[in-house]
Amino acid sequence: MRAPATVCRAFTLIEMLVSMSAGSAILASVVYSSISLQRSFIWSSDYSADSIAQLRAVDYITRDIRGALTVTIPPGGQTLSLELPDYYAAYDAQGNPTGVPVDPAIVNGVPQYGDPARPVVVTYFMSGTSLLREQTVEATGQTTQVAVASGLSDFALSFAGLSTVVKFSLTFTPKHHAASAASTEGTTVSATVAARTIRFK
Amino acid sequence: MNKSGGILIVALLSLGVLALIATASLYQVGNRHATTYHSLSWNEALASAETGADFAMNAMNLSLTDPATAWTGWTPADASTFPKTWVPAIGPHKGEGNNKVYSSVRVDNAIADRNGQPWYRVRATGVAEVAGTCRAGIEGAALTVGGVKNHRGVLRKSRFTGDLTGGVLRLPQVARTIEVMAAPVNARLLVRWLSAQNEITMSGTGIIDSFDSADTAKSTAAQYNPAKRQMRGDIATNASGNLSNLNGGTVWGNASSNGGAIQNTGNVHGSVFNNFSTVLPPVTKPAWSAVNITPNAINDPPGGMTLVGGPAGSPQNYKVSSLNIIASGNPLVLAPHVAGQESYVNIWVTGATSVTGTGYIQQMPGVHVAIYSEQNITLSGGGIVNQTNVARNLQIYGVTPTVGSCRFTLSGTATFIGVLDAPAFDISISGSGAFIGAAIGQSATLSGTGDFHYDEDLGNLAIGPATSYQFASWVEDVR
Repeated sequence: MRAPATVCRAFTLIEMLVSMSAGSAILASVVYSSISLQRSFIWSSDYSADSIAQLRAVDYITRDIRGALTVTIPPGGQTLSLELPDYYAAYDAQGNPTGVPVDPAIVNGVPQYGDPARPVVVTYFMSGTSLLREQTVEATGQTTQVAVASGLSDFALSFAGLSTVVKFSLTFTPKHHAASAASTEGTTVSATVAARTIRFK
Repeated sequence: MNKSGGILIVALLSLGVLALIATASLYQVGNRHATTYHSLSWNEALASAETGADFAMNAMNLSLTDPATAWTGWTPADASTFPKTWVPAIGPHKGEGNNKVYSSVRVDNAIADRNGQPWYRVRATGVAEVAGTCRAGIEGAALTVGGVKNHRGVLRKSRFTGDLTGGVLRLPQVARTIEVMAAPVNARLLVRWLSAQNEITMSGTGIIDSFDSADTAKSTAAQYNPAKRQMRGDIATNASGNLSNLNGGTVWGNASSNGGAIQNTGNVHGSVFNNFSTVLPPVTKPAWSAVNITPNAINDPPGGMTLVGGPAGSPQNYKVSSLNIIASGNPLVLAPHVAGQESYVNIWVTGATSVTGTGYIQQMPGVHVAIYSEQNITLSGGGIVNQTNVARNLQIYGVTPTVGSCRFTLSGTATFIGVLDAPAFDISISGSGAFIGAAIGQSATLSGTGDFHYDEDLGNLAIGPATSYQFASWVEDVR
């Protein structure tokens, strides 16, 4: 007996059209999903990075204001100059403290770390779109800079009323221009910080 | 020919692709979660450190009234052994949405002011767990302007190793340490020229500035020199600034109030603040163990009177019902027990104190004087001639009355060199004589043409007993 011949049949035209349509739809959805997912990744990544940059900038400025011996906001309110106690015995080449904290001396009712005539001078200002923190350890003459944040469009400062409390805001340029007008205005973070050591005087 | 097995490969490939997408997604989400957790813990750690410092302050203040039990819970818990440490037990902690936090506080009294009075140094470390595993977030190193990484410059450092809590918390952790100096209030009462509970009114032409009798760069032979004028002639009121009016008076220093806005501050060459408040403790009557029997009153003593001091270890105390000097021929002389030696005289006036007419009180060189007056104080005529020429050597205390207030009046042409601590006295200063030193009063009216020079060295002078402590500085250790 002869074995029955295998029957190989192709799709009919209708079957082919239906399968191609279904395949195209699936492929399109996969491509669209991938693009959306990628876009979502980028946005969420930028959101996280921007949030961290905002918090980092606020943290830096807040920390310095709290311990400042003097706070100066020149006219225009876009630069913050601080004199900090020279709290450490040594600093590395990048201006980071490496030595132990020094003992303060009590002079005229005020605790003084290091040489009061040679404090650590810190200035925050914008350079281009970056917020820089410039630190000069006057005891050694060493000046260093750190970019605290980038992508800024504005840095504004003022004293709260007649107080030793500093109000400041940082505005970041938006990276993604979505349809809404609000999203093109940038992100502004602000903080209000008491200059504690000055207040204690 | 069997061709049906291809579906398995397609399924596996599809699952592989989906798994890669899921892995990438979870990775993206995971390290951002880590960053969020880290940020949360960063702030919790500071709150914990601040709490530790507040506990230390509470113990310090308790130690003034109940030294035996003030340091209960600290190690060691006795009144006098320093440094002390305190680690609170962590309360019940479970559930979702927060982290365990931990404090470790160390208090030492190794720092003293120039009087030898110890200040407390508080180093408080707050530690907070970071939720999740030991995993870095997305925050990278700080960058220099040139793009060089500055790893030590990162503020938000995590601890993946080196538990700071002895096993109380797990890793990872965030730790923040602050150092605050706590000063006895009585050691900082004279850190400005004028401190007033209520209004300050300036109407004369006298200026307010400062010098430092202990610093040759800021004085000449310990005396005020206008060429070395300093900017610490501060004035401050515990009341609303709306009640005070400087009328354009010149202040080389800061003018501070407790709310409101001080009026007419155009010639304040320092800063004008309105978030000031401080404690001005009442002045109590002296509690001496020994008092000279005579005199019991000093009223225009014929031919004058001399009160002799004693060495620092045994000052001479005089208690009189009144002190009234009115004629130059009948002065009160405050003399050293041995010529040329430092000598101490204390006078307690239970009534009023006045120097008027041509009268004067002569404070001889080397004599340190403290006058406590329970009623009004009037200094005019020749006033008090402080021949030591140092403000800290003449201290006038206006004893806080049980009810009401008193007056301190300074007028005439004589220069006053001394310290006034009279928080319940309304101060009135007129005339043409200068006031060199510092003043504390209930209110102050400054008129006339005499100037006011704050001696910055008085910031080192503690007056009265320590009644409480206050923070004097705040630093965060960011190593």
